[in-house]
Amino acid sequence: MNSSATERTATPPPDRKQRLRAKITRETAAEYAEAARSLRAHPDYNAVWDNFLAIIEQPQSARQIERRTARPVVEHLCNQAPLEIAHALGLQPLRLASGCCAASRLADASLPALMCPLMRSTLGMRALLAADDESNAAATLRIIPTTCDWTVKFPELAGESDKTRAHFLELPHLRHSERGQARFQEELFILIEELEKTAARRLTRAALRASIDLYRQAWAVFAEFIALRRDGRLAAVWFMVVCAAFMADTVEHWLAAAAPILAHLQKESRRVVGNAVFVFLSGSPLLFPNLKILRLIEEAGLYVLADDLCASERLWPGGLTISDPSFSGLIRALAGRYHRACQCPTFADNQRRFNTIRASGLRPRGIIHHVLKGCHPFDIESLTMEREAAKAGIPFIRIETEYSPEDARTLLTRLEAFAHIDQGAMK
Amino acid sequence: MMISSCRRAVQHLAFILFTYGGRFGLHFGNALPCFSCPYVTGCGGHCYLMALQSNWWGLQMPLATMMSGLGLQALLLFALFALLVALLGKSWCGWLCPFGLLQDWLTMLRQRLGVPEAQISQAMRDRLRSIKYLLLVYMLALPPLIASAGLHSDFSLPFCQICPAKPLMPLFTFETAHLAINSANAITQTFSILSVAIAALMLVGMFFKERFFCLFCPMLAIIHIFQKIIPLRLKKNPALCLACGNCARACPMTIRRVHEDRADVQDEDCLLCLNCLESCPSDTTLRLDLFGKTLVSSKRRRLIVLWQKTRSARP
Repeated sequence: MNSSATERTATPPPDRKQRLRAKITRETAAEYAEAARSLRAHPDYNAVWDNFLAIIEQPQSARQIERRTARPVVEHLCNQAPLEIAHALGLQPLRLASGCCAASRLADASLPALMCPLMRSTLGMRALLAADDESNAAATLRIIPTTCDWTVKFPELAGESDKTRAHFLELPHLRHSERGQARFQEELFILIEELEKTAARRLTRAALRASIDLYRQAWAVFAEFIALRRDGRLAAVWFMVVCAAFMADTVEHWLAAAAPILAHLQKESRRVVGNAVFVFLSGSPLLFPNLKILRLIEEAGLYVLADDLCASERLWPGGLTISDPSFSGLIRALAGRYHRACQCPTFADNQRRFNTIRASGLRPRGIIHHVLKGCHPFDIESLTMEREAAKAGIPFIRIETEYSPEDARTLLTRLEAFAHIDQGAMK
Repeated sequence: MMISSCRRAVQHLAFILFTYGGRFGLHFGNALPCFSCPYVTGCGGHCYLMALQSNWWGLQMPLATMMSGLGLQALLLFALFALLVALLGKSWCGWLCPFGLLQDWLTMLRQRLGVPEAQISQAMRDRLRSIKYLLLVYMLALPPLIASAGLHSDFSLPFCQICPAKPLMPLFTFETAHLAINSANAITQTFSILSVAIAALMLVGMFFKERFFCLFCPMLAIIHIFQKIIPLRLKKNPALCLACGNCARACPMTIRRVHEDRADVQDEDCLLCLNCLESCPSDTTLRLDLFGKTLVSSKRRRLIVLWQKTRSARP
């Protein structure tokens, strides 16, 4: 009998299940606390960062976020559902994605062995927090863009106990075709109907325009963080904190919390990187509190200059250019931005993805392609990335890993070797 | 100053100069590559299309006259027109054309009212774009027939007779005469009815679709013929394009070519308004070159500032 079959059949009895849950709850809390502690011990830590750390240093259920933000939560997987629409309806969009290693163990027994660690952890965290909340339906609606297989199968994997209503946002996998764009626009109109039911109110043009303007503001601030990073003044772990806080909070609160941090960083003229080698990070998303890869990169003497991770610089597609401010014009613009501008590897016509590296402002000295075991789309795209990197003469390394820290030493050795090869190549 | 604000200022200045300039003693000649309509009393210059069709500077000139000094004069006027086109290229359409600004005002009004823009599919656009060449052929073919094949002289200035600028632009000087039906004979009656009907149709079209008339404008077609020798060009570095689609969305002519993976992105319908360049979030991806030297290029920072400015914009 193979191990996956063993795992799937070995469902623990009820008392053992409770003990396991209690243990995982403790371990999850410890993992978050350790991540926050290590950030506070980071040489670039300043008390202003507590604005963001306070939001993310504990796992929070949709219900807790709902209470904190005073807005009904709408969960969404991936980042193709326009945040502006949910916001304009008075809802709080919450990206359902976990980087917690401990939580993934809660989902182990019922899931395929070779599963994407992100989805495993997300399912585990959902199960953990839903139980804490004494309600398994903290969010009434979950938007599921049809990106990768793991995402599409999320409700099925979550099981019958999951009562959150799933809405599939069908994603045409050709983003540059007129037909694909028209279909995605239709999908957005269907999504609006669904969200209006959840919010029990109609979406108005004025409210949508106000939300678009607010998210433009947020993007302008986000772009300032990106600029600081390009300038070698913002370590990757802190950029992750910026993104994690954005995912867990209202955009208004995020903007207020970001202002003093940005002011502090802009005042700080010191470049935090010293003689580190500037690299570009691509591939599967990295999520708080999983700091493993970013810490190893830092330890190996590398500095992440830019990335194209969907939970980082591609967190949301950016501000919106509007040529037609009518209601349907705004939806058309949102559809264009969230579909055509998205560089998710599940798209068939994603050839221009490498341009992000060329357009990132500074020429990176190396590319680190991060693949989570079981994340097939990014695994497939690593071949294209490697080929394009070779053409551009940029050293490339592909690292395949999961959330557990067991392979940390091996990865560090490989990254250190890469840093040396890279430095040699550039000299 | 943002490119769009700068363009608006130039457009308004050009509108004042071309529409009212003559009242202040200004005249920029008869070879202007934009719709500075000669039917506007006291205008500051004439659209070259009128001269091109006329019997004193254009194709309606009899062959014998064409061989005389007057023919040389017509040739010189054409040379001046070609020079103006070569100097500024399509920016005549995007930055200087008074009729273009009228279309932009209608777009602004539609936006203010929150009326959705009419959508035209790419296939339909491809079909429509041939109309401007048909109009060009019509405009070039009729005057020689009047001059040498005995076609009735009331067919003269065939494009001006149906141009929507003829009844609409004089309204800015409170002249309504060109809205009247000329019943002198069947030809003038048909032309005047057509003129008013086309103007009405275009007004509706221009309200619902940004730069609707430009889809059919024969001036745009003529300028495009000169495109190869125009040193002012919109260029793209496709290696830096993030494929976000902002450019195509910001384009008043909804040109998809600018979004494609190619360096030569200047489409025949491009007005060189630079909306695409201004809305591009990737540094130096889109640029405006003059003799290969970059005058202005896309800048992420500029776009961010633009968005910060529009924070208080009302829908």
